[in-house]
Amino acid sequence: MDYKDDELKRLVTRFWDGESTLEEEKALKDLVAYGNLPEAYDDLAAYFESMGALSDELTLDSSFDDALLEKIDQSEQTNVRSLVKPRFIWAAAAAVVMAFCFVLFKAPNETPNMAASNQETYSKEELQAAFEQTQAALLLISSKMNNATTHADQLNKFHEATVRVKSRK
Amino acid sequence: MKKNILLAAAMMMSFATFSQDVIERFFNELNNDEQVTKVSISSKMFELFMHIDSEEADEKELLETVSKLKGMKILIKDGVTNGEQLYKSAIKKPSADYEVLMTVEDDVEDLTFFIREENGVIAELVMIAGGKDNFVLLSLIGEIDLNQISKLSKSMNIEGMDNLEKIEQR
Repeated sequence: MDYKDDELKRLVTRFWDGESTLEEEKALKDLVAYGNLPEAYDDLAAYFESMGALSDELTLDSSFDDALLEKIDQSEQTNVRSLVKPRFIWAAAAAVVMAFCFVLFKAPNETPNMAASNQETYSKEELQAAFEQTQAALLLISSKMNNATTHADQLNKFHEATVRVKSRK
Repeated sequence: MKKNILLAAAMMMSFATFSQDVIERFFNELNNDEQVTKVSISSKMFELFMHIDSEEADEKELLETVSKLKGMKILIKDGVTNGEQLYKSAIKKPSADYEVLMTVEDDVEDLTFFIREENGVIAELVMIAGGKDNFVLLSLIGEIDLNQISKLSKSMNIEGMDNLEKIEQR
């Protein structure tokens, strides 16, 4: 494509200002490649040539991809170890603490024998025997409690009698 | 973060240990003592008591009391010479959760009732009695109505020591 001087000037200015489109940039590169760019724009030609040389130098061979993929694999494995392991440890620790607390809170009201007996079914005789023992124990508590209350009543009566005698005096 | 979790876990464990059943601890102390008679009635057994048919009024009253209970443990040591010592040792065992309900000390026997309250309801009643030749430790767990328990011996007209013998014979 042939450009008039003012058009070329405007295009080069747009390029240096970073406002040129890809098509415009390609047109400028073609001008440089075919030697159609006036000498006044040697700096632009030098720039494109240096960029072309640099891009050749920066071309990566296939070993870079292999090395990069290997690094990514290693990184993923390390991440798995660093995330999963602590989670597992804390989950296990939490489970142990919860189990310990459950045993302590739940077990006090039951001896091991009682816990085992819960799984069993009881015969009528065993049930009756247990009921009689419970009855006996409750009556024991009841009578002891009433004895204690009787003591307290006697003390009350004594106190009331003392107050009455004192009031007569 | 980890330190906080460990601290919380340690606090939970210490609290759990503190609130462990004091009676259970005393049971364990006398575990290998052959002179000791131990009776434990589980909550499951109390549930089964509800299937017992009874037509007598006093037994019905008893069943009503029993229906609210969830566990019972009795420890009896008879024919001992240190019943009073055991009593003195036992009354020191209950933790701050337990309050003394009443104490009677006479020349025959010393007796203390402890209660543990939960939300304004008596959740445990512990009776510790020690005489010259006997020692009794009894724990009732569940919803406990003291008036109802007090009525039982009056309606059945049975003395406490008769009941003790009844348990010991089993």
